Amino acid sequence: MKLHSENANKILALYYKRVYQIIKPLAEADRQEITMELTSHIYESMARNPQGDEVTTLLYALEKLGEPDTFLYDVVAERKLHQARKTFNPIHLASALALNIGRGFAKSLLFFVVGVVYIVSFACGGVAVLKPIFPNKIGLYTNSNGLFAAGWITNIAPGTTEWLGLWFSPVFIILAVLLYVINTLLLKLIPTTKTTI
Amino acid sequence: MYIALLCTMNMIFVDKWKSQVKKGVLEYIILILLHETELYGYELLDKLKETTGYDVAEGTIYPLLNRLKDEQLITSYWKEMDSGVPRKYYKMTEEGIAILAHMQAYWLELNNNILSLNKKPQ
Repeated sequence: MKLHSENANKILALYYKRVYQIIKPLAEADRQEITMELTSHIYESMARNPQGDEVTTLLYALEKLGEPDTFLYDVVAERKLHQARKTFNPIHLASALALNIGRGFAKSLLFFVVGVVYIVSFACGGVAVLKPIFPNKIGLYTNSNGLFAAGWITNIAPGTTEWLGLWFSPVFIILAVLLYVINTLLLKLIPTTKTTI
Repeated sequence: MYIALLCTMNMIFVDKWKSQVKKGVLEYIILILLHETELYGYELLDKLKETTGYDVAEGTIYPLLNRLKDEQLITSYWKEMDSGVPRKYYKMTEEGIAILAHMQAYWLELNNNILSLNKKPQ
């Protein structure tokens, strides 16, 4: 959108600079969609609420629209979460979790739990891969003293039984994938939108 | 002095309650408005203000529309305008219409229950 006044264009450019900074983590298509919608909104707002000169009209429209850091943070967090749910990509998931932690205590707690489950999922995958390399150190162990452990064990006490043998790898890979998929699907259940009235 | 303070505190409580109710029904109202006609973001805000008096902080409508879109209750498309600045129109999906019918039934039930509660002799 090109405005007539040089100062109005400068103000708009500064506003968009902040916008681009906030929407940087998103995919190109999402970034383009957001900037187009913002441009449309600013244009409509300016056309309907003239305030004398163009700079004042623009400032009024931007004030009514709100701080991009505030409302776009929600859009970015939502879009990133959507992208993560859709792609199951761990990089998008990590970014979505980072963006969504800090959006209210209860939600942060839920996202923290989801983050911990992802870590457990990656740990399961990791020990499954390492099992053939360290067959005597990694496994599912129990003993008569109440030990129940899965993963890497440094001191294996006498009388400890390892249950899965080389089946440990496939079982834990399946477990890792299941945790990852279920956790990603559960992300959908966490409500994320905030609205200011 | 004490009574004035108490009244102020009660009004703050009522204002907070009103704000919570408004937030709670905002998605419902947006769906009703979009069921009537296709609207673009700014027009939707205008309609909201005109029909309900809700003065929504403008930017905050977009995360909400985004979420309704993710839930596949609404969809959007771009329309070229003579001004050269296109508008993004939102419209209801079949699923959105079905969900809205459920919401309307529940709203009616809730409204009737509250009305009958209010009618009960104290």
